[in-house]
Amino acid sequence: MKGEPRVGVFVCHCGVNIGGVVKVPKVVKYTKTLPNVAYAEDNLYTCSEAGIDSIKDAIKKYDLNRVIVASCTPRTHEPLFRAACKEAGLNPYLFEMANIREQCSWVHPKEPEKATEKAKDIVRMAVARATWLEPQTEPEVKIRDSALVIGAGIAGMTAATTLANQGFKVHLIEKEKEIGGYVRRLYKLYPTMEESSEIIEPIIEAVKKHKNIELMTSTTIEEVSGYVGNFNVTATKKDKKIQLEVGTIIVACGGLNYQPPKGLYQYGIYDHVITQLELDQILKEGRLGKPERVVMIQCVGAKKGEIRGYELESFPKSDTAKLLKKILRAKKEEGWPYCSRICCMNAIKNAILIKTASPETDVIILYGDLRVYKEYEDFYSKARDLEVKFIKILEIVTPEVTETPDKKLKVLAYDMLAGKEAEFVADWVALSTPLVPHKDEVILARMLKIPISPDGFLMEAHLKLRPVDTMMDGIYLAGVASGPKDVPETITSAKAAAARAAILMANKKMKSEAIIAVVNEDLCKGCGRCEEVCEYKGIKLEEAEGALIAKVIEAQCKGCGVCAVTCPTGAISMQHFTNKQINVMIKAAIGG
Amino acid sequence: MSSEPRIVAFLCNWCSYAGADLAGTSRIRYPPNIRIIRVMCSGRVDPAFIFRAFETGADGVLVGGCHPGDCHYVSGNLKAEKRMENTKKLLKLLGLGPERLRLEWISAAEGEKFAQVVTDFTGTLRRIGPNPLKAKTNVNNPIDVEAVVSEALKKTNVQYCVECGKCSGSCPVSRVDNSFSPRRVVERFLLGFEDKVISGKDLWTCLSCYQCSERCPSDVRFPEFVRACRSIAPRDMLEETCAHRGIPMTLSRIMINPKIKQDRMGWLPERAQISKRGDLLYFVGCLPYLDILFEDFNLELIKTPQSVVKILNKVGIKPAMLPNEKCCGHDLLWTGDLENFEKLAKLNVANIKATGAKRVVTSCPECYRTIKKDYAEFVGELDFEVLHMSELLSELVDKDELKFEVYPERKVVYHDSCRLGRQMGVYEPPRKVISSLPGTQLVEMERNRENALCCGVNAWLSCNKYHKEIQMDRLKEAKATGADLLVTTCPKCRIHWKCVTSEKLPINPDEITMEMRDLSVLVAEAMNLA
Repeated sequence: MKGEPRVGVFVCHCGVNIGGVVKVPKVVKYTKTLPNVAYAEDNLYTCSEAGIDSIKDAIKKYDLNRVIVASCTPRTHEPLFRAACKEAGLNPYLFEMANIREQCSWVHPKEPEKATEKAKDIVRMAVARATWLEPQTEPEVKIRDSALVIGAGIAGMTAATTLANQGFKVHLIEKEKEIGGYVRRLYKLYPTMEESSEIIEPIIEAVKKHKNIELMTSTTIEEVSGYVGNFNVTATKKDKKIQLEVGTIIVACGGLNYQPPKGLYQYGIYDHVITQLELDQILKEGRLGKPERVVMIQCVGAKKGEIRGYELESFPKSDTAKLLKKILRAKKEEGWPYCSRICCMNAIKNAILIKTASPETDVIILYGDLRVYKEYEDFYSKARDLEVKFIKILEIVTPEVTETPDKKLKVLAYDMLAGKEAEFVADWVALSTPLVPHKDEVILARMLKIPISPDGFLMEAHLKLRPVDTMMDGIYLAGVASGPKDVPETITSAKAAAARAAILMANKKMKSEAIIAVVNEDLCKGCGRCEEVCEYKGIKLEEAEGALIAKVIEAQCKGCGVCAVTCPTGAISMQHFTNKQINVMIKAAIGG
Repeated sequence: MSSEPRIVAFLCNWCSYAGADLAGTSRIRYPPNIRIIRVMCSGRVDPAFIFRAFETGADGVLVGGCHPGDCHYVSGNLKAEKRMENTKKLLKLLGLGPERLRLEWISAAEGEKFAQVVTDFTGTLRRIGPNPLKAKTNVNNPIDVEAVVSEALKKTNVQYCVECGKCSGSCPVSRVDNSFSPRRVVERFLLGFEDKVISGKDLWTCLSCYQCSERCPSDVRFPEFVRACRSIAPRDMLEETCAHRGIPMTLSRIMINPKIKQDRMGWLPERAQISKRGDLLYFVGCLPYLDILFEDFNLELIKTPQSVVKILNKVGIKPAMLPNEKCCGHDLLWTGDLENFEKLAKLNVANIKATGAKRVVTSCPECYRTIKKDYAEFVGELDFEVLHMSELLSELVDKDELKFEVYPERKVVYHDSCRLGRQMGVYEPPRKVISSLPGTQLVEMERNRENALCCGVNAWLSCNKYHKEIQMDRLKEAKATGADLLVTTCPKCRIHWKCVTSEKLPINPDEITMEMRDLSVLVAEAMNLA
């Protein structure tokens, strides 16, 4: 801290939102009595242009070196006010907000005296903290101009070509021998009914020929270390180890079509009980013939059911592994209770294909809910026109599949419209099963240190606002890896992920977080407890002169503070959230 | 301060703080008793913050985090959960009540839940009443610097230093960290640079192990000199260099408040015979607290007082005990908090007197030295005898009152902890006790008795890689004797050694890993009482 702290406090009325309950002038008057406060004023709307100008003027006029705005939650306007400070020549981290709206005036509207007292306390706490704030600089990180794309399905290939076309070098890794993912295995795609090979083969050709794409098949990722802009990847192809140095990573590892356990609706017991994927294959090979009736059951394993057990013993005992165990155990009872988006359309598509090839075949789709959004409604109408029967069943009464004496299949279900149980004798029963995450995704998540959502898919940074970003800078998600999607959505997300990665690589550098851990080496005894608890490998032990010392890897540290509390000697402090700052706030919270 | 409860809340930025904001946006009302501190993750909430909040007068503390599985930083909330459980146990011991601390999972979408929690918590706090620590003020009486310094000079003989350097040559810290030198500290002080000494970091590195003054030809009491300087040194230095964020000292200070009614006897073995009055009083020390604070080390620290009570009962002694025993104040004294040390001393002496005890026995060397020596110095002549458990056991061995039933063949090496050994001269009684155990062969480390090497940390100060080296050095020495067991009477020694052997090391862990045992537990095991 250069010289004495001179704190400026701007208390906002926010129209009547704050001013209507909290006596703002009283708060200003009180604020002036607090130690280190050099200036205090009230504004009608501090976030307005007039308010911002007022802050900037006061900083210059009163030589302020700390600024506090007492108004709404920092979660909305902190960046705005920080920018104002920066423009006035003050380091943006010397700015603090006191939340006297969401956490005061809005929740105590009938108690103006108490709300005013509380507002005074909140400002006092902010002033106490501001006195101990330090200027921070965001360290700059260089970004390499190459990317790694994991998975060469439609998502991976789209992302790879998008980036490659912009001139970036792309390493495209696929664990199977062939590329193309699920789309390649399919017969026709809805709603255009184009052959999937017509769509996917040109993309595969483009990928193989592109000079900027290095394609590696039969290759798996072993280890990923480093941080945004500087990832070091170890992969193995057969027995050979490959080292890659990339700037960004796009995870496009896809999902699995859930295969029902043996016995569910007699799957695995009767040959003609199949999944939609298997039906697709049969249609592709023209093996269906002209059956009398095909019955399709929707949402199999999505409401109830067992899941295929994952072997978790190979996972180390990390918190992530424990979490996944919890998720999967819960799933065993519940099934996969989410909509997989594609199964209704898929079933309709297959129904249309069967009807077109064999109009005499009776096709019945048993569903609880039918989801055909946007223009897919027309596709559904087409199916209806072709006389595909859609029967809504009561799902609590689980459909039953049995064999008839003449080796046909009998399906028993509760027809909602008819109001009674109905029986269907069919040659084939097709089960629409959900898209689920596969085990590799969990292994990848652990390797990349990104969280998994409650359903086991990789989790995006923000559900609404950052759908292709992950918690780790420089790592993005494309396709089904983050949740069920159909082909256009997959392509969109892949392009989005590529665009996000391209921003970093085009800029060649980025600013990383200032709120990180700092090690006081005089107090570090190299015990390694910080390293053990860090989920991001943001702090590591290094050897120096025969002793071990902890060092923070700035670009990887997320600033959560868990290491600081774990450190037995108190060697670690958190920038911008120091023990001192918190301790003075505690004191100020209780009585000043 | 009003009679309305005051809640201090630590809310994580991503979930619970946002949840509180949502309560505001949704205009859901709740009582205005809460003051919120935003942290990035609930995993940032240090138990030290919580104790500080209570010490300062908070009636309740709320910690808000993301739901398990949703933590923005993967697992910070799970770490918070574990820490809060541990903290609640300590709050229970202190008698503050674990209900005063609440850990809640509140997501960014749960504005309603936040309001509900605050309303509920406020109601609970109104019901259980205000924090007993509220009435206390935390302002230390300003110390007369000149008076303290001149006292220190007189009592510690520091002006007789002849700068021979024997202290720096003997100092275990100096040997590993040659930027620290007791001689230089004294020189600086005598040359008129008191300010540098008092505001410097060196002041907090001294182990107060007394190796230097043991050998000093001028009988300079360097540790006591350091202690006096610490009492006028800036507290910032202490805060910076104190390990565990000073939690043990905070607990000691909390115990001073007369309104605190601890719940600290839960460890007593079934059918233990104790009394409120008696000729012999057993002073337990902070073992019930240390046992919880360091539960991860699996040291079974609580077995020590359990063993003592069992042994005493077996030989027909029904010890008096203090249900509201306060910390002896050792750490406060050695970190320069003289005012609070005196308060603890006076309280303990008064409570001991009320039991009518003529003899006070303690199993902890720090309590032993502090009560026998420092209490007498700061509070006045004691009218009871103070002895260490090893001395009492030695007496019992002489009278042949200890009946041993289990005698494994083994070699035992004994470590003289600084407070019992060098500082109080108790070397032979523990040795006599160990030698009396059939099947047990006592072996000695090269540096024993008055030359014993300190365990490496004192009063939780300045724990760093140099002090770690001292610890490893001592353990290597113990291992070199070929002994099966390392026995000592000081729980702190065992804590520090267990700490170093359970962490990452620049050497092979086998070089220093040894099975350890407390002396009283060793005897109780041999008597088949454990």
